[in-house]
Amino acid sequence: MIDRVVKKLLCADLTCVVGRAGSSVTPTLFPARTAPHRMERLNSRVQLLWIGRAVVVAAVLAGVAVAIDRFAIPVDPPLIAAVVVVAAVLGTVHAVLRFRRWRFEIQDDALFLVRGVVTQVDTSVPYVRLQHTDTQRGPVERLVGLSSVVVYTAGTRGADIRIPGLRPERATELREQLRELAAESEATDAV
Amino acid sequence: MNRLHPISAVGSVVTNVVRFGSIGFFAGMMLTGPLDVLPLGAVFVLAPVGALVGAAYAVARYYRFTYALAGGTLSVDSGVFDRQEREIPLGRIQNVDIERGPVQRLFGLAVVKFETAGGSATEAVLNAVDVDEARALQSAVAQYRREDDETEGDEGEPAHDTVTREAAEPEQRRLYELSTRDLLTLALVSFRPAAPAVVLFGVPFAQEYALRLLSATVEALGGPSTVSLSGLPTYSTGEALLTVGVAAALFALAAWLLSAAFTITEYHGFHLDYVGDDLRYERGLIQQYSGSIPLEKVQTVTVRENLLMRQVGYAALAVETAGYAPGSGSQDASNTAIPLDDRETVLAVAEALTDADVPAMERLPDRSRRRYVVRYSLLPLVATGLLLSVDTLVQTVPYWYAPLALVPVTVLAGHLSWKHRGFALLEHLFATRSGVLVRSTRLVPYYRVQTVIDTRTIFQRRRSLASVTADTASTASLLGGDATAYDLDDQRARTVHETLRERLMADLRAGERGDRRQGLTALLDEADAPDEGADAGAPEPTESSTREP
Repeated sequence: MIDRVVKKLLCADLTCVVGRAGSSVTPTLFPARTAPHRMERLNSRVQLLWIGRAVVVAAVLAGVAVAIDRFAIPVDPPLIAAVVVVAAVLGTVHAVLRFRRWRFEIQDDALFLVRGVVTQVDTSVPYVRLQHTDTQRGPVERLVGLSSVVVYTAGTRGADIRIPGLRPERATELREQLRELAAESEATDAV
Repeated sequence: MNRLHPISAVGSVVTNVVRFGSIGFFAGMMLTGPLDVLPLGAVFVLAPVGALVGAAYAVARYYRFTYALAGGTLSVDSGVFDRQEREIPLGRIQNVDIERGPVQRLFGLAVVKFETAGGSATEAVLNAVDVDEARALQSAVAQYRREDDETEGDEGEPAHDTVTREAAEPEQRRLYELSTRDLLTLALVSFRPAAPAVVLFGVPFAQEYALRLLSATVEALGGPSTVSLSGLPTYSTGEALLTVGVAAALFALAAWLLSAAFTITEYHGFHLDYVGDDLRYERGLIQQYSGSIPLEKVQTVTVRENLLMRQVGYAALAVETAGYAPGSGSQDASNTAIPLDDRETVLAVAEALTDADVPAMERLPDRSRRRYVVRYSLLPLVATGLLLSVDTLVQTVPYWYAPLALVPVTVLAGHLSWKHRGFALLEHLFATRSGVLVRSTRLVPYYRVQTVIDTRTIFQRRRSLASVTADTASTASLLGGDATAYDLDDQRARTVHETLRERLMADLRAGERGDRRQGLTALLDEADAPDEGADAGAPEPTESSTREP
């Protein structure tokens, strides 16, 4: 009995959602409002940042390997080189894939993000839940002329969510946009 | 401005005299002895001076510490050197907890703790005030919340409740009481990880008794008459096995009894009252705890059943607020509302608290079960593979196929994981369930959702599965208490994600939060009614009449 009620409820949800999202959106794209390839992407320069980070990690690995070779057990130099190259290549591939997958969209009631290579993560941050919004520029980010926007919620798991690789103008604009949306949604909240 | 109770000042003076006095004493010993900087008599000066400084500091701290509850704020001024003035808006207070240890009870004192959603520690601690004053503070915070309906809720959402209520002292109704029988059952079915640890550390101190007990038991079972560690190599295999077996059994028994004792001291005299808009509980045999949980601050409600409880049809109920900082002292991040009762009663209260029927869960697709079975079976398969390769490549390993014997167990584990996981989307509530040893059913009102996150690992994508998490501000989720629906069909996950968002907005607009009061009142009325009392598990009739679908 309860099963049937639940099922009925769920169907109602589905139709209501499909109807509201508009005819152009097929259920496959939930909860994206537009086709994924139309959503906003990061600036492609962010790949440089991530590839650079991967190279640094590979270099650290090389350092560790050399240290092991020097102070503990001898390691073949070709092996070290292979490890470093594999790490760097994997990191680069990961960075490129990550950039290709990263999307975000300012939707009617929430910020929607699509990201992740090995584990794909889709996140909705309703504007009502925004506590505050930052733009951040680290030294390395400044070097490639990029900026990040960080949004904070009171949640425990997704408490801060970062949109990296934005042009500084876009980051500022986005922050302002989010702030306005948060303020607006607060007003509807009070009804 | 109020001060703490003078007796608490006496207490802290005594503590400080001992502490600073001994610091002075040991400093004196060091300086006169090994370092030889001061003449021998200095110890007799330094120790009293230390004690005096300690006493003076305690007195100064006592006089510097003032608190006041007025104008909708709790203000606390404290600190001797680092002065601090703190103002906490009463509407933002999540929990008010009262703790009374044996010493405090002797003098009629109580420690009051105020928790808000921010911060990394308890926001205000009054250590200690008169017990009546403590109760008055607790009531005053609740009273303020009742009177000031315009007060904003936590996280900056204004309260939606526009029902005006009378300012008179609210009626107090007993929602739940832990009977002695239930307390004993709870003690026997709950397991505390601390118990075996205490036994492990305790045995060396009672070595003689432990050995004597072990010897007596082993002898009674036909083993060697005296047991000692040095005698162990002289035993036959049978005797050694018997001794080890008996030792393990005794250890388990001791841990179990100790765990039961812990549970009894913690939950002795537990009762839960419904006062105004607060839930108020009291519990504890030696250290007494009392806490207030405002209904409007409840983030999530969790029904917990461990393996044993499920067998006997019992369950426990916890409510989570955003108040507690992670790992803050002995306090759990969630407040136990019902430590143990039969499943129907627990569900009825959970339903009243969330104003929704705890539903039949939607099962996960069959391929999730396959995923779990494969995932758990990989372990013995990989172990077998490793042993086999060692067997063929390095040296012979007898019984290299032994790990395969675990495969039926892992298959069963996979099946059970699948069976106990589920989720449901209700009118105003998202419900998730998971866990085999301890099964948790989490109920998250849509309007409490902070963010919606769905994840697809590479292995999930192969089977077109996804997990959806409804993140809330509840602090329990820091300890792995996320409301996550695991491994649902990918398309279904998208619908769930979308629905959570839709419902959050819809329920925020509709002002969902007033309804739970009616749910609880209905439940209590039903229990009070002479004829309908037996039917505690079905609060639907009252509910459907008070709400719009």
